[in-house]
Amino acid sequence: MAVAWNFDNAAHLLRRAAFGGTPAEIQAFHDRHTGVADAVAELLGFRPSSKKPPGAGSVSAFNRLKMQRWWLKQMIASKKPADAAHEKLVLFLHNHLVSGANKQPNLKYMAVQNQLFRLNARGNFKTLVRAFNHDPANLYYLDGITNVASNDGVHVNANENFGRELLELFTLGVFQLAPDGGPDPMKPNYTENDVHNMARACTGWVVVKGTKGIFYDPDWDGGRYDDNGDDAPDPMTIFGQSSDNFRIDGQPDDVLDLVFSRTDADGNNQVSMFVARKLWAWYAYPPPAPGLKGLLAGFASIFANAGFELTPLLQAMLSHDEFYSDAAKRRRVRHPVDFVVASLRALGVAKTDGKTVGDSDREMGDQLRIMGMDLFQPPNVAGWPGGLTWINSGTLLARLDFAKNLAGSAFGVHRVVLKPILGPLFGNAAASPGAVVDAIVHRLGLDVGPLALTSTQRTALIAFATDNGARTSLDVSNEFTDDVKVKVRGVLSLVLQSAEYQLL
Amino acid sequence: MAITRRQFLKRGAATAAALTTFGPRLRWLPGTGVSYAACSGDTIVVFVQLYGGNDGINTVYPIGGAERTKYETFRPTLKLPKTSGEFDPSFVTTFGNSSVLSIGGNANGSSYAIHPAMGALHALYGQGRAAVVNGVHYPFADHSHFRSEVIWYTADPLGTSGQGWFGRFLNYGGCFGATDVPAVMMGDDLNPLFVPTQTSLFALNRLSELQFPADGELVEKQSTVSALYDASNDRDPSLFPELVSIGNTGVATVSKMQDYYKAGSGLANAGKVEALLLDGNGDYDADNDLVYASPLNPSSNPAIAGMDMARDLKHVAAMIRADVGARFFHVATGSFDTHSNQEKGFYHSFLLREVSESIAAFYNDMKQSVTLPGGYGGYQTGDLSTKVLVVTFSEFGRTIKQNSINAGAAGTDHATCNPLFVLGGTVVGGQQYGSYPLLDDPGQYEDDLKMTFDFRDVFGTVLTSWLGVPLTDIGPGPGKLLPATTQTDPLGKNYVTFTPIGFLP
Repeated sequence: MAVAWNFDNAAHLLRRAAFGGTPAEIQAFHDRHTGVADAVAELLGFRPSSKKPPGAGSVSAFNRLKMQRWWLKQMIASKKPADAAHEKLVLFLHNHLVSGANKQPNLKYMAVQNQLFRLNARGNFKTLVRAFNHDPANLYYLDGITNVASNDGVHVNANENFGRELLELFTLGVFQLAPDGGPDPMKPNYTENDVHNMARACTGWVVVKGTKGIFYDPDWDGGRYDDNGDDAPDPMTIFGQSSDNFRIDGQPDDVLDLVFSRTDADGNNQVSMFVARKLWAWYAYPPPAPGLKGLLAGFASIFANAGFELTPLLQAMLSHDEFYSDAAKRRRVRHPVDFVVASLRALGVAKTDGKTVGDSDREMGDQLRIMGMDLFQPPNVAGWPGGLTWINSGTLLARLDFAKNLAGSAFGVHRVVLKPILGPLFGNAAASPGAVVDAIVHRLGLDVGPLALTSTQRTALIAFATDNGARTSLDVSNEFTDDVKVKVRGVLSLVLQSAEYQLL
Repeated sequence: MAITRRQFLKRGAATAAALTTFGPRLRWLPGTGVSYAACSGDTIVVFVQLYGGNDGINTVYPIGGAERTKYETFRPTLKLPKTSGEFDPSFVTTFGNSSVLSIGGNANGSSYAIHPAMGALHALYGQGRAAVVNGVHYPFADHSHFRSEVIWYTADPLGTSGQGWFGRFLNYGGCFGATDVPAVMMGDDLNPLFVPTQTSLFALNRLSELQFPADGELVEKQSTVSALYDASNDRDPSLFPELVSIGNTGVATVSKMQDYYKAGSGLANAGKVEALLLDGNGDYDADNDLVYASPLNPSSNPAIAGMDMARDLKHVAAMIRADVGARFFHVATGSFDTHSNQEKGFYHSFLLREVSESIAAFYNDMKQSVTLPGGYGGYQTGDLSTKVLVVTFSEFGRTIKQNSINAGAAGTDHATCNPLFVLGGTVVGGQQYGSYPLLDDPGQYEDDLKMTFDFRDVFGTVLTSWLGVPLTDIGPGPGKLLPATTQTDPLGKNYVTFTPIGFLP
């Protein structure tokens, strides 16, 4: 069954794969294409940029804010939908191959890592993992720099931090998938011995201060093959294969080749299953779901056959029927960055300095931190877990606060201009409150689809706009009438605050 | 409809409240749906989580006997002192302690001490207020932080149930309605220990995060946004689980917020909780003292100054004394993931001191009767210590052996069981429960300890002996509060019967 190519599906694709847009932008995007495949190809046709955030110096909140400002600018002000799609993919990678600023000796390493993600965003995943292994931010974050196996086998072990997360979080996952896409605890993907030996295979990388150098130093892998101090290599066994000379970086026995060739009980490539599941959760809906494993297996085979190129995988996912199903449209919670960036874009704010919105005394980056998403500082190596963990009393009120400030923003770089939102209603000194509510709800995409506001909710918004029926019209004759300031911008703020708008 | 359900539950709670004349330890009345002491009772639980996997072997460590000898072999540079003479002089200067904090002999024949940075907790142990539960973990060892956290949260050794064990309790017996707020966690996100639940939960770092955007048309906007959320939580939860949950959180947040925080100045404009945290100018700040004398006040107890956990527990104390309906709390600190540099700059020592000083200050606040300034009414001012139970946990302990011979870089990797601390309430303290695992008798993996207690015995003890859940409803098994293990674990054991531990009578 072909996916219907219409405005609603174009809007859905842009919301998920990019950061949405105004109705005019969605319409233009729709009109450029005759079908979903072409539209997805446009989004994936971005040119991977080598831009680098301005990160340097101590990892203070102040310096981090500068980097956050820069990244928010890229996301908010990308004119082409494909460039916005690029940013969303970079954000995915930041949340998949996770490092955090807090363990860095210098913030520049987080900037270098962001550049690595930019360059590889739709490239080859295996190449990216290979580069990530000796990315300095990762070496600091997961203790690669202290992972030096000693030849005193009595007291010491290799530092397992990176070796474990490489298998658990970056490539294989702890377990194979059950039919519903959840973990099957009876089918582990690796053993503790595999983790331990993987850590040994990853020894030897050092970051040398002052020389900008990251390199492989045979002295630092000391004893990697030598558990008993007899100066002879000791074989290690990973996934049942033995070698005296496993290394993660290719020569001579590439342990990453072993990882990327693992298959599950049904013969699916396991890295592909794991990455497909993670991308599906990011773009479509969270596992588990009935029959999800079968769907993921189809994507995984495309990914594996393409030698772990991300573009064909994403093309298949974002063009798939299931991606446009009601099931996909009703369960994805917006993360804070999406909430902020997509709201600005939907309301036509196309330029930004990345700083404050409305009367807020906090920068956007800081507001995102309070909403639970401190860019460049994920909570731990698993990244932000997403879904309902975004929403609690504290973070919800932070969203309400942002909504209020954005809706009330009548001046400055982030001003929300009402004329294009209200369309033909604008200029009318006695506009219908119901029509005003409908225009705003349409603008924010909550007029159609499973998340459309209910009639009860529409009634509540109209009751607010009319002081519970005490008045029959609104004066929207210009941007600054009292009705506009209190009622129109009030409705805008309320829709941004609704539970439905927290999903996308 | 949400309203009807709330009204129903309020009636239910009132009926149950009438039964409290039989005492707070009331267990169960046959034939009633809302009969647990938990529904009407006033017992409180504070969970203290040590994120990242605490090194339990250096939290309660051997000081004498065969285990000490092994400990010194496996931990050549990370070992803690067994006599005053062995203390690092800079530790003594930094922590002001050169005494071994002994807790005496263990059933395994060796003797033990608490980490020397944990003097405040050791003092409570000496007073019989705190106890150590040794070797607590789960079968089927898992060294993943994230898997292990899920397992601890759900009490399901295979980590597949997806529902927090305390969340199951909150849903149990209809004690709490969808927009009641029985649990508050001091953190960025909802701790999965409590979710998913049909009730609402608060999570916040600071009360000031609960400031409703107060701008023009406040009351109308507030009632409108509440109406929007109320409509969201009426959707079909099988199709819209996220939407319903956000709706519930929204309704609860907007309706309860003013109990907690009102963003005003002065007592009359403050929320009931916030009013306890106001300074002399009527301002509220996370680092303020409470309005009454308390060991949680940084100005009078410099030992806790700057400690996030003490700050969070000060908020918990304010919520408890303000009596706004929350009885279950979660605080956390970390990261205890000490793969490297474990004691470089006394990193682990500082973390343990934060836990010790913060918990002790909190307990001592609960223990005292407080005098509030004029105008404060409806607060719990008496000694609440017998109502408040504190339980610590971490997702796993760490390897028996340190992972580097280099004293500076040495750390420990992921492993299994840990000693837990329990204190307050009716805890029978001043003693250890259970045999401390032997350092040369590894469990499923060569560098892991073998557990003494299945964590379900600890949780079950809290549920039955503290929250009044009848034994018949504990499990393990389908439909019970504790999940069963469906197969024999790799060490050949099978958890079939809940066995209470004696730390609560």
